[in-house]
Amino acid sequence: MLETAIILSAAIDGLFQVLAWPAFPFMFMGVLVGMLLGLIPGLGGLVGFALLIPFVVGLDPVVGLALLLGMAAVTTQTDTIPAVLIGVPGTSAAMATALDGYPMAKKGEAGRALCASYFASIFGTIVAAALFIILLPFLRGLIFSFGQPEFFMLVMFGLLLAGSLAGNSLLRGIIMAAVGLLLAMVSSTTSIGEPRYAGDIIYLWEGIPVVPLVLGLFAIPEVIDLARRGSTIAEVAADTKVTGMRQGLTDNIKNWWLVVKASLLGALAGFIPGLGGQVAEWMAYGAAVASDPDPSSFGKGNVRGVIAPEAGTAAQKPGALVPTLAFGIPGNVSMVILLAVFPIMGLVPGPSMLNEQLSVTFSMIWTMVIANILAAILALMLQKWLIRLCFIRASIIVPLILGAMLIGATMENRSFGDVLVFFLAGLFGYLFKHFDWPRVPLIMGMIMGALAERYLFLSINLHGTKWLTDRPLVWVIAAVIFLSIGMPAIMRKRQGQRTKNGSEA
Amino acid sequence: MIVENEGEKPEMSISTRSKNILKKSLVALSMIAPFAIAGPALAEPDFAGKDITFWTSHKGADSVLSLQTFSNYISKYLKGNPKITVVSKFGGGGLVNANYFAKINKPDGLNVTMFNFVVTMAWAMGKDGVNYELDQYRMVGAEPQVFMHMAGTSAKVGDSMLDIAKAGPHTYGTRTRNANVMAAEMLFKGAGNPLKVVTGFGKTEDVIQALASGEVQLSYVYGPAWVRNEANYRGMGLKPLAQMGVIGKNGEVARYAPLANIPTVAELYLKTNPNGKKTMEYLAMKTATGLSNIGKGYFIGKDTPDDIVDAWRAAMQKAAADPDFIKEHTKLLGTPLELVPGPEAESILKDGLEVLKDTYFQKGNDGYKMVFGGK
Repeated sequence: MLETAIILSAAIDGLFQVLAWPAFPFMFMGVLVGMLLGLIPGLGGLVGFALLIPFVVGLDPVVGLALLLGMAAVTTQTDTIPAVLIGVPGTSAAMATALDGYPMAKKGEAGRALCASYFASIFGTIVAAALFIILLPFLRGLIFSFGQPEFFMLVMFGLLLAGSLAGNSLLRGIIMAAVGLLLAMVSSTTSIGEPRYAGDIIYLWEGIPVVPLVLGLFAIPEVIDLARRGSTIAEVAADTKVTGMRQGLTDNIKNWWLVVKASLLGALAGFIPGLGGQVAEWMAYGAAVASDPDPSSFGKGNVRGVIAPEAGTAAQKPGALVPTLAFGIPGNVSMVILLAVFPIMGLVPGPSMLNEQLSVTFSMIWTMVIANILAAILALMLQKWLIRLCFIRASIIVPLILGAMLIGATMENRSFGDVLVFFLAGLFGYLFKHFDWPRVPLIMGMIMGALAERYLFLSINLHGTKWLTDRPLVWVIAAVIFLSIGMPAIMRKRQGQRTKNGSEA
Repeated sequence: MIVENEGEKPEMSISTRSKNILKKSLVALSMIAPFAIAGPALAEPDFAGKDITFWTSHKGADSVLSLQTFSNYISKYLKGNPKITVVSKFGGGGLVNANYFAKINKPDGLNVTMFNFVVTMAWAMGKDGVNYELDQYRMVGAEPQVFMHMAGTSAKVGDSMLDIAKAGPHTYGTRTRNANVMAAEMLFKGAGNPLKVVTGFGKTEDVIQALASGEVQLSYVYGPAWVRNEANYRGMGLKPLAQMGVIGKNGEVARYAPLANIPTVAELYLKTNPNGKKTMEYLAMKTATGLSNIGKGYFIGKDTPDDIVDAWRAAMQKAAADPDFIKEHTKLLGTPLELVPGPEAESILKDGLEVLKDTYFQKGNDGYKMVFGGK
């Protein structure tokens, strides 16, 4: 009862904090920025963080987070617009949506698809928030059952999963994760403060800074590609009339079980560190196809092919907050930036975010729910204008975005080194993208490398080798790692072997 | 006698002439005097348009928030109201920040840093990894840092840290070895039980989590943080045990007022060792307590001119006494900021460093091993 009262009180506190002045108008601003970024293919949450980080310095944490999360929560609302209208997803989390959304638009059902996606996003966020509240008492207990060995295994799970799912090749993913681990070695050993692999370059004494690296690696390649596309995203202006809005809402209600299922899968993808929106959308899309009486209708304009990935992607975001806040392990790449920004706002991830700062945690969850609702309402009201923005000239957008990203990248350290890291990372990011080497495992390796080192060091110092044998949770996580990564790899190899044997026969 | 001549001014008497000279002199003096009196004010350094960085080794929410809030008010009292930004350089118990400051500091008052007492003692005792010159910097102020030892859920139950020490071996978790850990080890040694010290935790929250999960039995926390979060910490099963205390007016270790009900480690140590005051171990603990009274020392760069040092000291004192700042800081962090003025802080530092010059505390000797470990 006491636990319920504490959670309820924190939830109500968090809600009032978000609705109060000035958090609400800042969240609204974040929503507007997020909606604009989601519209333009190639931009997204990371660019949004770059644009907004300079503004959160000095703000109250709830207000700063309302701005940042208000933006991050809604990029996947408006990314559906170009995905449906022109078949170009606004962010990578709308690729599955484009598969069925674009054919629907060609059939004259663009309005239905868009509306279905907006409401699916709202419901997805609400389901994820409800799941968080239900699981919170277990989380608060779980966090104190975890010791350094369990944290180490969790970090390894996230790292291996990111390596195995991030790209088309398991080997490339693991190699990139290993490169990330190597980059993480450049720092000061925390126990004695001696620089490691940094020599006399004091800029590197705290390691390679995360914000300019992530922005360079992920956002610059997108901006370059946007610039390369030329004057507009599509040569043919879209028909700005869209109809069938009401049908989109009815579709969500009729397929309520699919919405719930997709949301739960998305939230689960968010809980597991290292995954991201893409995994969530494809897991949800896969669930929709598997549960449909006519799977062959997918890819040809099935509204369930829009609802499921949108609900899954939206649910993944609040889900990703959980490992980020509770364990300091980023749920996805956007959470990496959020973790870097936390100290600026005076927040520290860990047990305090589920205890004395629980109302701040709830304010973040509420921000995501309310932002999605606001974005849906705005999208419905301003549909016509939003569609026109899809065709804004790249020559106008690119210089502005690059400049804003540079400012955001250098905010933390205010050092010329950040500029160098930003552009170097951008160069490598572009090469990695176009030669199909996944970047997510590299970043996860870098972030989790430092965590893995510390947790392993402490595990051995506290428990000797017994941490491998005497702790049941370690075995549970090891089994999960084997089932989620090892088993599929073994089965793929056996399948390949059978096919080879079959063809030889 | 005045004789009036046509077309000429009448001749003045000597006394009248003297009065005129005096009058004119007084007028001249009254014009010059404001400039003479205002002379020092004119020499006050002007930071208008400048950006100042306040470096800290702390990354914790409260610490950074406190310092940033304080900096906003310091700026109010520095001529030109410069922008002051707090930047955190975490790691090595403060050594990363200290070594960094050594590289970047200049005598222009645009970079000020916080050194904790680990950094101070590391320099004084010749620890590896020290690449800064503490004696070259000037102190512009300080805050006390009183620490408190606490027990986690798996500590053997006792009424006090002494009872726990007598109950058997325990594990102490910490980020780095320092004088707090030394004090705990002294107590356990006196009680006849070993204390296993495990370093390498990332931040305070990690240690709190390890205490609450039972992975380590003992650790320490910043005293005011315990006061502010007591309900939550007790909810996690944590218990206060002993504080490091402050140096009282009689020059001995005394209880820190906000933790008045919690005994000091020194008190408990003397229970097992009534003649302990004469030991070098007790002197080490007392010196560490003294240095922790200026545990957050604020230093300005090497060779900084006196006028800049004085401007900073004055601005810090005025900021700390500003009623709006006191209100804001108390609202944000639960307590007002306690500032030790620059000259007083420098004096305390000098006394502490003098004690640590003794070979007993230098690298390789017993005192050094007590604080920083090693065989």
